Amino acid sequence: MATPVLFTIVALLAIGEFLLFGALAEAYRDLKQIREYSGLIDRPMPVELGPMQDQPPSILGLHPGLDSAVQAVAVYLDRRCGTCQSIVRSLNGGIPEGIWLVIIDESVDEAFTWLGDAGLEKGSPVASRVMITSPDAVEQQLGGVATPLAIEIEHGRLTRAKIITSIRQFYGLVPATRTLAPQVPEGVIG
Amino acid sequence: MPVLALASTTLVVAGTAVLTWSGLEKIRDRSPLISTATGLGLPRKYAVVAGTAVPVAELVTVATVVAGAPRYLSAALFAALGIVFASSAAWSMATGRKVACACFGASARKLGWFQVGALPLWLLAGWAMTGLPGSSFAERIGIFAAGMFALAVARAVPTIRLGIEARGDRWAAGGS
Repeated sequence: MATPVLFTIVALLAIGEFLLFGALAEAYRDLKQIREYSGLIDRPMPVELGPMQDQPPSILGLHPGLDSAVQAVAVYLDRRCGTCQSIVRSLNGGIPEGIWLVIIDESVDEAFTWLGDAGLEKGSPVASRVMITSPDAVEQQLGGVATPLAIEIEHGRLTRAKIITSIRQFYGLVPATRTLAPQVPEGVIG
Repeated sequence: MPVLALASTTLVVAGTAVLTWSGLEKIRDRSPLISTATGLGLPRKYAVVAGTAVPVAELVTVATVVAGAPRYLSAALFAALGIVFASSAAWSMATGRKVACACFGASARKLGWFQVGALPLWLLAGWAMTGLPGSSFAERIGIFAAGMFALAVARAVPTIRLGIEARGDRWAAGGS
């Protein structure tokens, strides 16, 4: 006798949970609509690369090593942009593998002072994946850009560009091959 | 369990699961179904009645299966609901009305061939009901509780995903 009563209670609780989750899903959908109307969706905005599409990264003044990179992402950051500041603050002394930072600044020293606040010191090994470029150079190479701008590089070619609107998207840029590549022990070939 | 009995049980369980989800979603928010009924040409006061009657009929059908009511009653309810769904879709197509189906609550999907095509399945579920092997109430309520738990989980997963998206947007907009 106890078992059917227990099952009935479980079924009733599950019905309650079903109804509550349904109501919650509806509330989230309403919020999503509001966010869409307000332009608050956390979604990268694609940017046309134009004539730079499929060109080697060095054509943009990026590090020549990227011309032979299988997969990498160059992220353009500007001190004046709020999301860029959040991204730099989140770095905490390191840059995710496969990511290169391109700081748009007139002064190399000022750029590194800014990065230094996030633990990225000039001359440190991590800073080898930091490039500094002037606003004029960027204007010449890419035209007017909004930051943070991420340019994806595949097999030594510029493939896609997008404006990233959050830290979450920045970390989502870490190339999958970097995170999923099998770890081959040293000395083992193939 | 013989093949026929297993097939009957599967059909009835599937039909019951569909009616449970659909009935609970419609009863939670009746407005999409009322809007559908109005779109089909029912006067507002009858549309409001339909907005309650249809989900109640769906849940009553489930209750008759679980409670072990006479099988022909459950079978008749399965068939009747299938006929109501298919005839509504046929009516909308015949009169050229583009009406949201409200099959599982609010939806952008329109009433159409899908509901007409599902009629044989509802009739089959009704027929399967008559050939269902005998079972005790404890067995039926046990299966219903397990099924209901699975439905609740299936309802929770997309909700949690929506919540994560909302949190991502909040971080993007506010930084924390």
